[in-house]
Amino acid sequence: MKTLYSKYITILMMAISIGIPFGCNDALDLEPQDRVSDATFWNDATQFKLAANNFYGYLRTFGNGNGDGHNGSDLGADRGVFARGTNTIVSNDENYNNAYRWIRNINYLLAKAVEFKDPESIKVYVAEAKFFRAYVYFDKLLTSYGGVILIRDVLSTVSPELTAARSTRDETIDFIIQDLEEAIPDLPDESAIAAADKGRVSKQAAQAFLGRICLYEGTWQKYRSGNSSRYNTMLDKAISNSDAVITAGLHALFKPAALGDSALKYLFILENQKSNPAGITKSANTEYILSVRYESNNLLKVIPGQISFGALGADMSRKMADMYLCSDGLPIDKTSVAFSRATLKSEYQNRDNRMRYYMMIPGYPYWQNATNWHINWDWSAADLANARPAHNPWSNDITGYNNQQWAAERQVPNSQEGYDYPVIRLAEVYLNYAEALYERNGVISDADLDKSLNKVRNRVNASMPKLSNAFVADNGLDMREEIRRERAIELQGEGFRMDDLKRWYIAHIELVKPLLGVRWKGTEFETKYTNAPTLTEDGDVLADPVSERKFSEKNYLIPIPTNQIQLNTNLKQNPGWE
Amino acid sequence: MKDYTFFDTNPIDMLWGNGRAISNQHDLSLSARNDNLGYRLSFGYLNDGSMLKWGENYSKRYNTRLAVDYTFSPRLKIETNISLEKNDVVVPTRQDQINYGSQPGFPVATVNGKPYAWGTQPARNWLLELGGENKTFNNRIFLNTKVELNLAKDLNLISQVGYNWAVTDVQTQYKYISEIYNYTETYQYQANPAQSQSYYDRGMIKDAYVNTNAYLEYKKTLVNNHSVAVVAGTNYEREDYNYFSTRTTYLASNDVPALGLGLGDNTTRSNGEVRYQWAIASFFGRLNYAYKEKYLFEANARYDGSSKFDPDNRWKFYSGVSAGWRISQENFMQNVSFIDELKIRGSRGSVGNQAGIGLYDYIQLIDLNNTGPILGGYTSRTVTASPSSTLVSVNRTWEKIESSNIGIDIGVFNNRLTATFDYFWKKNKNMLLPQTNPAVLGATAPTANIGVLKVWGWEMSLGWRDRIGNIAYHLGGSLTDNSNKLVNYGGANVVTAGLQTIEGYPLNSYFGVKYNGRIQTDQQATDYAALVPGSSIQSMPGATQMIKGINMYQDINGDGRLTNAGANQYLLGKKDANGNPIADGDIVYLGRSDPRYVFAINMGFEWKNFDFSAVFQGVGQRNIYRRSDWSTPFGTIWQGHADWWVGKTWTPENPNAELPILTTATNKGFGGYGSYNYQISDWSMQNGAYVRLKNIVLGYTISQDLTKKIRVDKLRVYVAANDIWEWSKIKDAWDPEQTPFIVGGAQRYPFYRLLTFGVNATF
Repeated sequence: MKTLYSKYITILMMAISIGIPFGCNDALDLEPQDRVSDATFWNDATQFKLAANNFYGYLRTFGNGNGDGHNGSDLGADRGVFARGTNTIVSNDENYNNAYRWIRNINYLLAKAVEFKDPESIKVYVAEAKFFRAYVYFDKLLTSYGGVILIRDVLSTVSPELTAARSTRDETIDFIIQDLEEAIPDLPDESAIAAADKGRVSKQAAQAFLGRICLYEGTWQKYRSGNSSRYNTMLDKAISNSDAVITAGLHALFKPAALGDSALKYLFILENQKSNPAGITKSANTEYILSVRYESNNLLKVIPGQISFGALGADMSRKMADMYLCSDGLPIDKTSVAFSRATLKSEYQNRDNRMRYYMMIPGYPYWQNATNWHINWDWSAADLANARPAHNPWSNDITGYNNQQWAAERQVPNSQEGYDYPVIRLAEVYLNYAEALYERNGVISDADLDKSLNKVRNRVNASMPKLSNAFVADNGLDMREEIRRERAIELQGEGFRMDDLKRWYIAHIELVKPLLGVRWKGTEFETKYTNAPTLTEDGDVLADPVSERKFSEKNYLIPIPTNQIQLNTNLKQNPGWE
Repeated sequence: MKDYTFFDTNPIDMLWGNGRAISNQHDLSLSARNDNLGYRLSFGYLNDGSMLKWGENYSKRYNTRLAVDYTFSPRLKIETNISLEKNDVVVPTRQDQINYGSQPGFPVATVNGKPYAWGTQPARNWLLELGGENKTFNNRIFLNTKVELNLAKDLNLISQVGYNWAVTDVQTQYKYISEIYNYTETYQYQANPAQSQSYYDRGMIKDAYVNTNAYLEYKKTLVNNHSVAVVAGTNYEREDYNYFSTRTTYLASNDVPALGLGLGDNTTRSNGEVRYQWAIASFFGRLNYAYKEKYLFEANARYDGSSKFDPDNRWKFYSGVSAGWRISQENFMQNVSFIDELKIRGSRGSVGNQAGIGLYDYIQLIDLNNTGPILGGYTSRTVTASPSSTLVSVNRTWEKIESSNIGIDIGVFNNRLTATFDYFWKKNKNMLLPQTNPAVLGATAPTANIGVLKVWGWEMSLGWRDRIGNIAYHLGGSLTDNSNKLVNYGGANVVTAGLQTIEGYPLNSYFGVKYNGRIQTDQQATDYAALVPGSSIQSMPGATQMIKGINMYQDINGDGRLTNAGANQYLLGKKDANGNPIADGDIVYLGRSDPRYVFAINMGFEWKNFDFSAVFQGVGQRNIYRRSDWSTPFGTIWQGHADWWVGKTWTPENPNAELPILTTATNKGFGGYGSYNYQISDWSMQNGAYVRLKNIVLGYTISQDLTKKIRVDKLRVYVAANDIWEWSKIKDAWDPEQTPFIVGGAQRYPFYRLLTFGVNATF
């Protein structure tokens, strides 16, 4: 018995210990068990859809409102390095790195699509990929650095593109336009997108975005004495693509009657929970053509950062405040209605309604999500009792003008709001259309103004006179300036301003002006507040003096990060940054 | 809610109390042996208490082990070891936040001893106390069987199979904390975490590891003192790891954590799984030959395969030879009586290395993620797919390390004095290194066999062991040093500030800016501000933000700005493809990070019933740069800091202070003075040399005459201490054994000195 047992053991042991290694490669062929390998993926259209889903994370959103992190503006109290033109050369730039990581993922889908057996079933996802490739090249790269290295394929560590020189600005723009023009025919109309796919890129989104790019580059070239046939072609494309979106009629400005002239205010904080007095939810909003979607319920996906908290009371510039028209449709220096800076809130009276919904009026009560929320939205005594104390415009000691756009009023903790971020909305398309027409032809008809810009202006200003050629002529206005004004006001909080100043080639003029706040001398500010801030000779609050404003020619482009130049000596630095 | 009540509480004392912890360890073993059978059964118990004074915190271990060997016949012997171990570890779930937010001055509790919060954040001690427990229940089984079979005279076949199986049940509860107040209890905060954030997570790990060996062994002593040994065999190792976990968020009760007792909808339940395997296989052989124990020779060879590589690059062959000459065995040495042992030896060979390679790096994977954009209704998040961000590498293979060594062993005066000395040099010809590629690649390049690394160094040890009267004593020490140089880096190189791997330099080399004094005058501030435009070094203040008392750095290449790129005149001829110097900036080499001149000293004596031993260890030279928020005074307000810097910072009255000015978090609109001053530079580098009394033991064995009476064979009492003394050049009060990066981050267990009193009893 003993011997038998020992023999079995011995034979078994020998078999195990000697046998396994002789299985050689089989014993070492171990496949991943909890991950999908590339070889087993890309077999059906759904898998291409999953890959396309990933690209929606590349859209600009809260905290990165101008898309590339190089924020700057003359409309807020912006004393950051990009507004001041004091940004320096960086050795590493995550915006640059991320853009190419994203482009790789997009190129990956496009490469797999070429081999796919049933191209028709994935054409929408291929079109989405092209849309997003154009989006990343424009929003993250071209607007920051100018012409860049164009990567059209999935690279390996020995690809020649790694040490390529930059493509020209024209080549980069042409590549972006080509991607969009190839994508548009294969993208569905907004109305053809199934309920389960709402939020995906529509044909209208791609057309609207192409309109934005063509207006951007058309004006960039025009104001730098570029080739006129090139920029006119661009402007024509801006017009035709914007017009296609308008004519399709699949989107409409958000203006529910129940919200009256406050519609725009509640558009930006619209949630599926009660986020406005009328209980309107996101389904009523068809203005957003492409958005980054959030949902507060169950914290499904909440907005990044403390957006409401940071937005409410953030300081705005005098330039912004003065840009709002008066109720007669005229700027403050030409108006016939009473305009005064004498009291804290006098300048808010008889103005474009957007002023009182984008900005906070001194002395008014405001509601705030985490601490002073609307209890029942009826402005009753109980509701008012929970509001913040009457607004004090001089609590930040900066400009005395305060913002209220993007600030939720319902009860919700900070960083748990669920309103969407508009990447493209119809108001912009209207304004792109009007500007492109005017820049292309030097004139714009009253009919075209009514078809576009006046819709934006009159959404919350029903009684304000429309912008027309006669109104401009009668009042000594400048049509170009009025079109630009409308854009600056309507789109102020959505990251367009820096790009606008750059393409109009006025950033080196506008951004070097001192940053001003309220009129202090001779107004209620002087009598109400004891500690006087630094003032200009005119008695205006000086929030940032000229000596700090250094924006110059080189600042029109962001410097290429030096680590990339060291890795690729064919990559040349932008002018003025060498 | 404003709460401005502060005390002079020391958070270390509050969290860790007097630093005392009681641990109990009991071991019991029974053994027996006769001609054929050996038997040993042992039991062990360890209850390890905790120094942390808040929350549940302990480790308990029970183990039993059975070892049996049986000689079936003169030709067959089988040994079996079976061991079972149960280990329960309980720690506070929020232990990782011990140090974060533990600002000095917080009250321990409210005025009436209730849980205290500052702002809405529960104080750290209450997070530990009320935040829930993380319980880990480990069960481990170890089986090992070895068979020795004598096949013929001098020829044995030895086969061994080991199997380790561990099952770990991890139960983590994250409690909501609702009863928290400000100091005066005038305000009760909202629950933080809220009940909807509470969760219970249960995970199960099954980890199996198998190891098999089989080899033939032939040993023969031939005529005339020739002895030969040959070994040939195989080896296979494999691990199967299998983990899954499931979580319920929004628990109904803090008191009954259970997966089925959630209050939320489906989105509050989630699960995950991790599974992987790896295996390596080898064939090996060894030949030994000795003549009269005088001339020694060995040759070995092995053929290794690993599952981590593509099949085409999986198997590699390695071999080596070594030889020794015991001069002391020679006839002509027999008259030199004071020399007992004198041996010179040398070796040369190669081995493979696969450390640092991912398990499936040669297979392109797709990442699936269920936290994609919200599309369709606002009811769910989509799944996204993307290629994994690191490129696959199918042509990667084992690193081949060629090593050579020469050494000498000496024993003299009846082996009372022993010494060895070795000099070694190694070359890693296809070292795996990360590659830096331009960002347009869009992915992280995999490590590749692109490097050539040379390492060389020496080791020596010296020991003295003797007896004076009835005192037996010993004294010894060792000293070792090595150097290395990255001969070839293959890919592109970028020198920027920090810890880098750069061709022509040792691995882990520091690069940084050069200190150039401190701003003391307005003129200096103005002159230095001229360097601001175009500068790219870390946290460069603006031209108007140059204040007195901050560091200045040198514009080495004289281009009027400070740039974060290598200064070529310091970086020894880095050239681009056209032969032009590149990376022309202001960053210089600041030394290597690895310790030099590592030494240890040990000593001890026995006298009557007393025994004593002590071990010192240390390093002779080391460059350390502490990440700046760890060494900047008040670098981050919520991190606890030692007071080493107090009184040493620049002030107008003390312009020659060791440290730069201490400024508020934001001064002149700039929040970066701390990270600017304490960025990596020759000024901020520290000398990490130290010597530490690592271990010291004093024991006393009570006379057997006494202990026999209580049926105890041996009874020894001892006192031992670890890490109780050191001398160090470190300036910022950190433990000198810590690496430059604080392992475990802010939440790591604090350094402690260990004092142990113990009793050993043998029955």
